[in-house]
Amino acid sequence: MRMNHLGKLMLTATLAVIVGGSLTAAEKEGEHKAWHHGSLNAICTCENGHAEVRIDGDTLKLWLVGGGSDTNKAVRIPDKKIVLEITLNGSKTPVEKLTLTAKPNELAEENIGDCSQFEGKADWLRRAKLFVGTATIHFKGKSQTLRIEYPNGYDPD
Amino acid sequence: MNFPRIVFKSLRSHWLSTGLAIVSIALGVALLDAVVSLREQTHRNFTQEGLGVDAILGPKGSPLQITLNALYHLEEMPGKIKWSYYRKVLADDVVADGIPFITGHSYAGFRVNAIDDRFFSAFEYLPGQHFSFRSEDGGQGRVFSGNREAVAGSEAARLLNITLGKTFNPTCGVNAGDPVHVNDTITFVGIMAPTGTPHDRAVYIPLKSFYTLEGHGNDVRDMAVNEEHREISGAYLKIKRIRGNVLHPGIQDLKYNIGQSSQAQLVIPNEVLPRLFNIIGWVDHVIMGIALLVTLLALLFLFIALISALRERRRDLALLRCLGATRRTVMGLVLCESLFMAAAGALLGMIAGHLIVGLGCEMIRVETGLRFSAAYVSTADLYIVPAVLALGLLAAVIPAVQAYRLGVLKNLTLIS
Repeated sequence: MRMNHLGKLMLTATLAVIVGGSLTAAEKEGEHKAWHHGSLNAICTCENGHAEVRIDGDTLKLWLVGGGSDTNKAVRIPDKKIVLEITLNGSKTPVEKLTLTAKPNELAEENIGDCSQFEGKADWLRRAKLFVGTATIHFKGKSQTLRIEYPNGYDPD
Repeated sequence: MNFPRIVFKSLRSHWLSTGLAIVSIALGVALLDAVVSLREQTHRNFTQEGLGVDAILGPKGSPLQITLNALYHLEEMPGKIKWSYYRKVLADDVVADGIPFITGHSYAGFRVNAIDDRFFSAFEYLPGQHFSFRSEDGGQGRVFSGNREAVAGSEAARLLNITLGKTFNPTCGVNAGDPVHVNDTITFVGIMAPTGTPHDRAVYIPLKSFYTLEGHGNDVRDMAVNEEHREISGAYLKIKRIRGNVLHPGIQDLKYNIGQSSQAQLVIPNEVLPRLFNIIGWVDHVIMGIALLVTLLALLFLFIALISALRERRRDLALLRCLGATRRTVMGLVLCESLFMAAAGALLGMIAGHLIVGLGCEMIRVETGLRFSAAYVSTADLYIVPAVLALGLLAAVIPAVQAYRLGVLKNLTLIS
């Protein structure tokens, strides 16, 4: 009887280790990975979608990608441009406007009007250390607010 | 009689248990050494070298399947990609070069790949290493130039007795029973020098000859001239380097961009193959566990051998004490015997381990074309002797203490 209990205990412990291990692996899989080494900004919720943002010199690059762990899957939108209202360094009112134009991914046969990648240039981007940008986009069939918090990303969840 | 002589005489007096202890340690060490060596060489072959390919442009499907097909001539490509798409990828800023290929044919169990002839001049199967047909390197003949010419990898040539001028008819497929292109006779014009890579186990024909094989029909024949319709299985891509010969970081953007397309994906072998090892890693651990267990059992055997030898030689040791040997000398005697057996077992085991790897190398080379070496110095080679010596000392601690405490008078008493 005692051995039975011991056996059950060992089996439970083994299962716990296996399940624990697989959960850890699953959690790692579920982490939101920024595929372009930029910052991820949730669109409404993390499960809905993300805007990944990276600054290269005076250019801001934006990729619209899926929610959850689908941050490696592009989400195309019909917008031809995105106008971001920028608030710099924690100030209260927007001081800049940055227009991002569609940069279709030719290797994915994207077009303007059916595009997931956008780019905009501005001199102040070279010096930008902290800013918040907001815009409205037509994402997944409805009008949604895009909020970008650079460089840490936006995660309402 | 000096100390080492006493040790050897003592070992010789119980030669059977000494021999068995040495053999059992040697077996455990051999197994451990061979497993570690084969594991490390497999990892090196599959992950670090990357077989000269930065990335593979392939159709949608399993990245592992694409890697195994393109680099190791195993599995089948999950589809085709358009030539025009390959050209588009080739024009990307981070792509330095590309070599297109078509897989899916075979000859006598070896893959027949149609490939761009720059494979033999621009492709590096290992960093800085190009294919050679020179006789001093072990090659023969030349690169194909006509549509009905082929070259063979060294291993394929050796196993199929391929000589220059020999002809063959490729099989349309890679499985037994697939149809043979009976009207398409191709002549071998070159045998590549051995490379120690899976490329030794393949036969290569010109890219365009694939499209013009008679059995493929008009649609495929049209691909030879019409780039719009042309399809390939994939392409080896060379990515530009930045300072320090590091891959251009833009490769990740390229991978993402291609990944969004409906027809292709970019596979980076050095990312995919470690995942394979993660999947089969448990096998690795089980074999290592068994090898460790065998080694520990051998050391347990050593412990038992020492204890039983001590029991047999109580009177001898007591006599030694009477003749002037100190307690420490008697204790040292037991420790030295154990150390000798552990060292002999470890050294014999290492030699046997390398012999096992040597036998395995040949089998692996025949099966995969990968070159393993019996002379490879693994991590186990560096640590196994000190580790076994330490464990040998540990196994001798109790018998040595017993020898130290041995009562002289008690053990010299006559037993009637």
